[in-house]
Amino acid sequence: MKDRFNFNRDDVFNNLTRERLTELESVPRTGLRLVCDYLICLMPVLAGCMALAEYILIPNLRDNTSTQVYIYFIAALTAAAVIFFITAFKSRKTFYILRYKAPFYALVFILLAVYDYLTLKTGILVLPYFPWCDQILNAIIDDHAYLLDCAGNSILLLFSGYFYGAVLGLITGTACGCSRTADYWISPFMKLLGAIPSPTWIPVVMVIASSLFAGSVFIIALGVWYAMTIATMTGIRNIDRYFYDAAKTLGASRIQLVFHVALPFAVPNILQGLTQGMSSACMALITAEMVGVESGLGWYISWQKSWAQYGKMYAAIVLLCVIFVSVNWGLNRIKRYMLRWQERVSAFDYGAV
Amino acid sequence: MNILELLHVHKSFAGAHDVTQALYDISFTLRDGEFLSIVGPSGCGKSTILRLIAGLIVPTAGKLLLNGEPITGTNPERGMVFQRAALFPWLTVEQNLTFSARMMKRNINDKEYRDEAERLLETAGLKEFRNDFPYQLSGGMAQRLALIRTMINHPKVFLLDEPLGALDAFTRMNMQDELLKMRQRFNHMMLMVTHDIDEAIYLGTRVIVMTPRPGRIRADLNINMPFPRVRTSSEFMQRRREILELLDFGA
Ligand SMILES: Nc1ncnc2c1ncn2[C@@H]1O[C@H](COP(=O)(O)OP(=O)(O)OP(=O)(O)O)[C@@H](O)[C@H]1O
Ligand SMILES: [Mg+2]
Repeated sequence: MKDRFNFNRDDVFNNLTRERLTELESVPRTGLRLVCDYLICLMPVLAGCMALAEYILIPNLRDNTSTQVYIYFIAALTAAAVIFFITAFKSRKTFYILRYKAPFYALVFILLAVYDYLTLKTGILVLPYFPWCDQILNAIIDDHAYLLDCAGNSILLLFSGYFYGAVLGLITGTACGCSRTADYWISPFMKLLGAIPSPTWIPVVMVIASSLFAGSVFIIALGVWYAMTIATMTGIRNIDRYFYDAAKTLGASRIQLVFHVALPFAVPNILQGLTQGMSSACMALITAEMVGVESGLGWYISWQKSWAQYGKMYAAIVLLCVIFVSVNWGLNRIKRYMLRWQERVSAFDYGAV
Repeated sequence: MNILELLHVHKSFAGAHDVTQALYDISFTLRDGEFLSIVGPSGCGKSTILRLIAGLIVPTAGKLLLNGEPITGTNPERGMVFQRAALFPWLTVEQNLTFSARMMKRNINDKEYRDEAERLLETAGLKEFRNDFPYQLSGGMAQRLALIRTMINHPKVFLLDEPLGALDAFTRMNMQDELLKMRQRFNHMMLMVTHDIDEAIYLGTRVIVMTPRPGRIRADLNINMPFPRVRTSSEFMQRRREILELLDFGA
């Protein structure tokens, strides 16, 4: 406890950072704890080396072949872990981030190594259904031009549908939330359409639509539109009467009530709707590409599968994952920024579980 | 000179199964410079009176006139501070303060307006917190912000619905003096609902005592003591006892 109270006050309270504050308020880290913390931070590096050793040292099963690509891949990731570890010594903030994330990063390396062991080294998981990482990486490299082209098409389709759906959903949601008449006429259709998963429409739309692209955009937009309408409407309906009263006595007109009170209040729900809409859009995208559209990663996957090219198929799946994860990451960033006016409370902070 | 008149105002609310009569035959007249305190038991329709004057609801019967004109709808010249702070959580302290000006398309960078905003932030002690969001404020700070957000419009009629209810004793007394200063500065009429009889007498030039179910005016008292008033003076005590008796709490 000694060093918790033995500090130079001015030194502490001038330039107090968030990290330093947490440090002051939590149980002080003694020598052993600190060593443990740094060891934990080092774990990804160790796990990375282990994954490398596993790949290089253990011999391949019979005639399984492997290349250097996987070595470069793991080495690059391990190098990143090393750099992260070194910066953690320089910056407190990085240290806390790494201390939090390190165990998970280590797990990723371990999972990669285990998967490699089960496929390339022992063949417990058999080809062609389970190609090893090296194969997948090579497939990505070999076919990169075409894969990128497909990814581009997928992204274009995804965002076209997402954009139209989100904008329209915002409009109908706001209308239903703010106007009784709009609610009266639109809500029944919402209930009807909402009950049907949007891919159901694919066969119909593909026949009617002027082009496959337009048809798919429509399918994707439909799901997003539904999610956004419901979310916006719910957000606006939950608003407290006091906000309208205050805004009105401060001189807001009816239109201003919508744009300066109802919509800002509904932003958390709207963002929720955007996230939900994205997951429905991704689903609709892949379904549309697998069923009708002859481009994009979904199509590439089913095409390669029909030729039993499982390595290439997984390559496309990996790429899809990367795209979806980055899109969600972007959405979360936007959310964090937009909701900075909300107090962030997490159950962890209160010792729950 | 502004005059606010309530003429035989009745107000009923439609519930799920029945109709509640909230106000029964309320009449009074108020002029510039008057400070009207309204006291009465919970649910006797105090907030309803203010909401009627603010134009947030319409009377079932009777008339409300401001300078002879019937009150229709809300208008920033009738400003209201609510029982709950009702700050917009997505706006910073400063954006909350200038909300009204932005709604009315006033230029918020105009010198005169800026000076007034600065002065109000200063008096409310919120200058260093201008870029904070409402969740970062204490209860008292939030209520002070709600007050200055309405004050900045210099409303002709200032409606206060238990604005100091949630504050601690010290902040409360400071805010009371702040309200008195404001009344002296602008000489506008103010109506304040309160459940604190001391506060009603300390601030009011008039006190209306109400009785519930349906809400009516039991007494309309003039308080002719010079400001600043001394809470421990015998006259103060006398008025206090009188009001307590009207509310059936007399010994
Ligand atoms: N929007 C409403 N719908 C239905 N009834 C209402 C509504 N607003 C108020 N009432 C009723 O009118 C009566 C008076 O309410 P009001 O809010 O004016 O009371 P109050 O004197 O301000 O009480 P308090 O001191 O608790 O704030 C109450 O019986 C209440 O149930
Ligand atoms: Mg009330």
